[in-house]
Amino acid sequence: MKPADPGLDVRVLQGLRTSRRDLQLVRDRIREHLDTHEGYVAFSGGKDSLVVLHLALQVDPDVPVAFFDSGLEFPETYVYLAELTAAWDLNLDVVPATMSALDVMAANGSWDHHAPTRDTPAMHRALITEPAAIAHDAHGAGELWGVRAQESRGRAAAYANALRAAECACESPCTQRARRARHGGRIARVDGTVAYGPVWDWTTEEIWGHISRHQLPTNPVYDKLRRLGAPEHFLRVSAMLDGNRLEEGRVTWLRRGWPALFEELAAALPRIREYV
Amino acid sequence: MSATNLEPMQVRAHLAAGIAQAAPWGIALDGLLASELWARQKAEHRAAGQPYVRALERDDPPDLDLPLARCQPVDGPWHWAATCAHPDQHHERLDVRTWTGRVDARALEQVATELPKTVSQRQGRYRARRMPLLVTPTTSVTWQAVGDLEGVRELLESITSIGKKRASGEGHVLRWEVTAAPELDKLTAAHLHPDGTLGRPTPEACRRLLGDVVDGGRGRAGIRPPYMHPARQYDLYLPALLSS
Repeated sequence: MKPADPGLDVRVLQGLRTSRRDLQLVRDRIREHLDTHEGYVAFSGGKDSLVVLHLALQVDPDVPVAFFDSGLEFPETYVYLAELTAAWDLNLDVVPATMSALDVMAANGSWDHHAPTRDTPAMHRALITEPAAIAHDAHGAGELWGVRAQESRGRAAAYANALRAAECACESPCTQRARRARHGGRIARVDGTVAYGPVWDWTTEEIWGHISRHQLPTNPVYDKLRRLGAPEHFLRVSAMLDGNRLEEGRVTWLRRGWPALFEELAAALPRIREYV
Repeated sequence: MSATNLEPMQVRAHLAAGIAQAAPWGIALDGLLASELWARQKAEHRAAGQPYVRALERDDPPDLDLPLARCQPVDGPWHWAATCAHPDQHHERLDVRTWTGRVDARALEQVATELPKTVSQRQGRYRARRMPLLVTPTTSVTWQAVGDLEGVRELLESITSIGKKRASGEGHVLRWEVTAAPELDKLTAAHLHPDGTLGRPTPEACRRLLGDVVDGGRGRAGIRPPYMHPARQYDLYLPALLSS
């Protein structure tokens, strides 16, 4: 059967549009962030951190790139990471989780009615906080990440609070829009580390537009999820499985696209079948 | 393959509006027949006032006497000589629909002796769901098998819908068609879809006999009903994926 004509490629169209962002200002802020705090780019293999990585490499081609390996990444992500590292000559630092996502989920008993409940480290601590601390020890207090306000209310609130608290030392007081561009996206933590999200207020369409405009190589998991019919808000390539978004069908896509992996996971975590 | 008076056949379900399924391959015919037999056994136990233990909860689930031939490879587990469903049209197409569900607080009050102050719909076991439902749009699906035509027909007659979300009207069966397929050899009928791709989870010994056919890769899968029971899980060649 002849495949249907896909018609207009929206991604290409997005790439043809001129960006309304002042990318030179973004690059200047990245330079200032690295000069002040040093640090690394947190790269997950996803589209947002890919754009951040692309911008950061224009400022410092040797910037450390930290990949926090949850142990439950899609197989395609590891291949993609290796290919991107070779193509872009990345200064890559793979930081494994202190306890893999699968170990945490299997050990705490929540995913098997017949397993005893045990205390285990919180998932966020094992997968993000502790690996990030290791990366900060190695590379400095700064962090460039692809976290966007549009992704969740919590992230939007964190950026909004940080912007409200930001002090403006500009010669002339910033207007609302200039304030966001010059001071937004920076989150200082109590432990002294500082994260800056250069794409913090970008929309999903702007991210794909930047990728298309610069023809950046994306993780093949995106194409696979699209082929399966996953909606836009489900095009995420973080760990294959954790406790998030199960009620929105995350496991459904996993089972459909990676059936053998799903069965392996279901053997260790029988209750994931409840979310198909 | 043990088959004396059992013959190659094709089974076709004519559907009202496609079939909803989570796995990237169709429903197994032997699973469908077994579920019907289980349902009958369950009804008999209930009628006799006897307790009933689900097959999935038994350490060693029994094999029901299905009207199908058994395929016993030289090494590896045996399986029923039947394939999974194959859509007769648009096997590469997928409709993504959405189903929603939220806990019925009044029903909880009726079945629980005590309840927490609030049952959260945002987190925990009873959180509300907004789930994708993957539907293959097709007017019929076909299985191939080796078995007793009359026995298969008799079991299928009472099945009115197949797949997921049957209570919502998905997978409604308009009629069943069970026909002999003398043009098929038994090995083909037991393992391959009508388009020649691998049609069921298959042990390596059987896969070697089939030669150069498209499959869905290798992985862990159930070999025979109850498919999800841990004792029935093996490392097998998977059926060709619906999108291939």
